[in-house]
This record gives sequence, C-alpha cells and structure tokens, in this order.
Amino acid sequence: MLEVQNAKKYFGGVKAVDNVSIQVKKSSITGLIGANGAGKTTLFNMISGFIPLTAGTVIYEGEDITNQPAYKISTKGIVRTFQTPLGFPRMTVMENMLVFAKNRNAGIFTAIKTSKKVTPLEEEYIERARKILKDVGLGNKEDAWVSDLSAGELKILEFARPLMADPHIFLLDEPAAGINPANLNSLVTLIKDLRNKGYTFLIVDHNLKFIMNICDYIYVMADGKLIFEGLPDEVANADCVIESYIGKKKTEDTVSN
Amino acid sequence: MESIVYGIVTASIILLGSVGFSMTLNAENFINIAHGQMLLLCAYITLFLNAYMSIVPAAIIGILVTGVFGVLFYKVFYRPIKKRGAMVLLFTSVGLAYVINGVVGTIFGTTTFAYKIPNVKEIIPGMTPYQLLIIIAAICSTLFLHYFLTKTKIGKAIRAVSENSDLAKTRGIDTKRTSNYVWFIASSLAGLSGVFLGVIGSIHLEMGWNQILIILAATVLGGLGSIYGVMAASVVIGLSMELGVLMIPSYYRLAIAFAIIIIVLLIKPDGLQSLWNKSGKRVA
Repeated sequence: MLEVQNAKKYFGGVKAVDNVSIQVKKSSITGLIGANGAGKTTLFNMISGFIPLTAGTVIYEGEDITNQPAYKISTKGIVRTFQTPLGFPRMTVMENMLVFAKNRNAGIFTAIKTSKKVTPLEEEYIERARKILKDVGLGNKEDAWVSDLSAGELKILEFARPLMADPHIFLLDEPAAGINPANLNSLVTLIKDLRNKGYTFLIVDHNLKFIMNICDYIYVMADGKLIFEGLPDEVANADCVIESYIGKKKTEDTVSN
Repeated sequence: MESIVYGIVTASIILLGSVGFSMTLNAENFINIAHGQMLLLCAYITLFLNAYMSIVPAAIIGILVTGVFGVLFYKVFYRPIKKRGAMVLLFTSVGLAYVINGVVGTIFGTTTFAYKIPNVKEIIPGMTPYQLLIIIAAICSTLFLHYFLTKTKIGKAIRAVSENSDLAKTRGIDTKRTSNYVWFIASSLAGLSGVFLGVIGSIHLEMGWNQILIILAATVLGGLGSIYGVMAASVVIGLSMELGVLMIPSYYRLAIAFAIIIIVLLIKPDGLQSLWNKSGKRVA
C-alpha cells in the first residue's frame, strides 16, 4: 500500500536517512523504532511531504507521490500526527474535530445566505465527532479549549482528529509518549479495532512494549540506516536491536524525549 | 456633532488599515511595518490614475494593484526568509517600508497633493457624502471579512493556518494559497484606507509612517492579532483622538490616543478582546 524505496535525506554532511526502504501492507500495523536521532521522524516528514527527499521514491497505492506538497499528500488519505501535539489552540475540541471533516465548498454568497443555519451535513459531522471523542475517551471535553487540555489529552485529540477525515493510512508519530497507562490501553484497543476495520498504520515510537504489543511488523533504524526488520518476536530477540538500545533491557519502557 | 462624525470617519480609516495588519500578524506571525507604506502606495497610485480618470475607477484600480503588490512583496521578500524567524521578517519589512517610501518619494517628490474630487454639499450638518461613504465602506468591509473568515472555506482555512500551519497542511490545506489570499486582502484593505485618508485630508510622504503608528496602537489595544478586538480598538482610538481635540490642541491627537491605550492596557493587559473572550482565548 505504501512503499518507500531507497529514501535518502542529507542535511549538509549529516545523513539523517540513508538508503531506507520500507513497505507498509494494507490493514497492517507497521512499527518503526530506533533510538533518538535514528531518522524516524525525518522519514515520516519525507513520506508526508513536509521535507523533500534527497533521493529515493515514495509510492502510495501504485502512485509516485515523491516530493509532492504536504497538503496534496494528505488529500490522498495519508494523515500524520505530530510528536509534539499542538492542535488549533484557540478553538474548542469540537471545532478542532470539525476542521478535519470534509468541508462543503462555501463561497462568500452562500455563506451570507446560510449564515444562521446549521446544515444537515454539519449536524452529521458533529454527531460523528461526538462519537469519535467518546470512543477515545474525550467525550466530556467537547467544549473545552484545546489550550486547556493536558498533554495526554492533546495526544489523544491528535489521534482522534484525523479520524474525521476518513483516512486510509495513519502515520502516528510517538502516539504513546506522555499518555497515562489507562489511556494507553484504550488507545491500543482503538488502533487494533481500526486495523480490523481495514485501516492501515505506520507507527513511530520509543516505547518498545507498546510497539511489540501492537505491531504486525517492525522496522528498526539506527543512525539513519535500517538495521533490522521482522516480526515482533524476531525483533525482540535480535542482537543488533538490543545493542542499539544499549544499557536498556529490551522490554523496558524507555523514557521519551 | 462634527467631532463625533470626524471621530467615526477616522475610526473607519484606522479600522481598514488595522484589520489587514492583524491578518498578516496572525497568519505569518510577524509585525509587518511595511503595511503602513501600502496605504501610501495605494494613495499615490490612485493619485496618478486620478489625473486620467475620475476618483472612483482610479481608486478601484489602485486598490487592486496594491493588493497584487502585497502578494508580490510577500512572495519576493517575505516567503523566502520565513524560516529565519519573526525578527528577520520584521527588519525586512522595515527595510521594505523605506524602499517603498523612497521610490514613491523619488517619483512624486515631497509636495503635498490632493485628489481631484468634485465639491459636494453636506448632507447633514458636519457630514459630507464622502465621509458617509467611508463609514459605509468600513462597515461593509468588516461584515465581508467576518463572513469570509467564519463561513467560507478559504476563510476557515486562513484561520486554521494562522493557528497551526503544519497541522493545516495535514488537513489538505494549501498554505501558500491561503497566504496569497491573506496578503491580497490585507494590502487591498490598507489601500482602501490610504485612498480614504487622501480623500478627507491630503496625500504626503509621511502618511504611511503616521498610520503605522496608529495601526500598531490599535493592534495592541485590541489584543494582539484579534481581528474583532482591533475593530473595537479602532473605534476607541478614532473617537478619542477627535473628541480629545475639543479639549487639547490638535497636535496632541496621537498623544491622546496613546494615553488611552496605556490606561486600557493597565486595566486589561490582554487588550479589548478580553472583554468578550472571558477565558482569555481568542476566536479570530
């Protein structure tokens, strides 16, 4: 479904991502792990069009999307979240959700004509947003200002928001970092549920336990290179993976940055 | 009565200038000092066209051309250095302001000009049709902007981008396109404001610098970046400047405006917008 071939990103002399190829299969949860500075987020940024590739190609559903602008890539059904979630801080949680609903194309004249009305379509979106918020455990925060949310709640909103846009593939950048254990469990259940419904995930995280628990297939990066790939069990027992997490046991939760 | 009319007219002109300034402040996160010179630029373009045609078509063409200049300045000067941060953008805009001022000064010289407009009678005591037109234009622009920002797709996109442009991109919003809209609208409104300044007063090289001070004041008073706050602030400043003249010599007009700003900010540090945004959050 999503394929990255020989991706390279050089910042001056620094090889942030060096010849990395990964494949994400439809309806799978694929993990990408590695220590800080391994190039995971850089790879994410390249897939989602935020930074251009130095070399290599990104193919999505058979279409070459290399170096297309971020806003075009996102309309193809690829959504991403950010490591440091911000949301739209001066809007409420509900408004944040609605921004991601498919918009009716309103010009200035239609806008004046329908200024007071809430259209059936908008009502439908509000209902849907409510349902999603309830599913992720933010049901009581609908009217809260996003800038008043806790870091964990922001993280969950970051994940809930793209659900409004009906994406095909989620690129989640550190979804588990900063979330309390109870919320994390519901997040895991939710992601697995969505996978069973046919959605696809590519997840970057430090939290090995979370990744091992949730992923079908895992890629391991270190210093910009792919050092290992395989099923969770294989990754957990691979010497080179343990080595790249020097000083930490393979199942221990590592502290996020 | 005359002072009140004059105050509202002044407020309308400040409003048109400040709203655009707030839009660029919101969307690009920097203080665009060159915004004042967009008023000047449009006033002089209209002056030039006014020699060949009547004021209304001259002004319309002038405003559209100024809007296009605004987009061009953004593309050529601001966008390439956007990543370097607000300070670099700020000083670039100061430089650009001097360049615009210098070029206009070289072409037109330092003389004070006035538009060729027909003389008209006052429709009610103290108010000419021109002043009425200015007030109506300001109200219409405000309403237009309100609907544009809250109801249209591109308006909502502009608000999303000014909140968090990275996140907006992941929602399929073309941030470059919204920027073009912002700069066109902001510069056109500045242009409209500049033409009106020329209509009620005169056209001279200092008008851009004088106005940017008042615009900055209105922006701070309204609550940085709050478009509705700025609208309220413009009315407060415009009225206080013109009513203050009744008591204090007119060359202290600006001083009165700034005194009021200081007082308001001592009581309401978040500016006027905090009056209706109780939780301290701004909507637009």
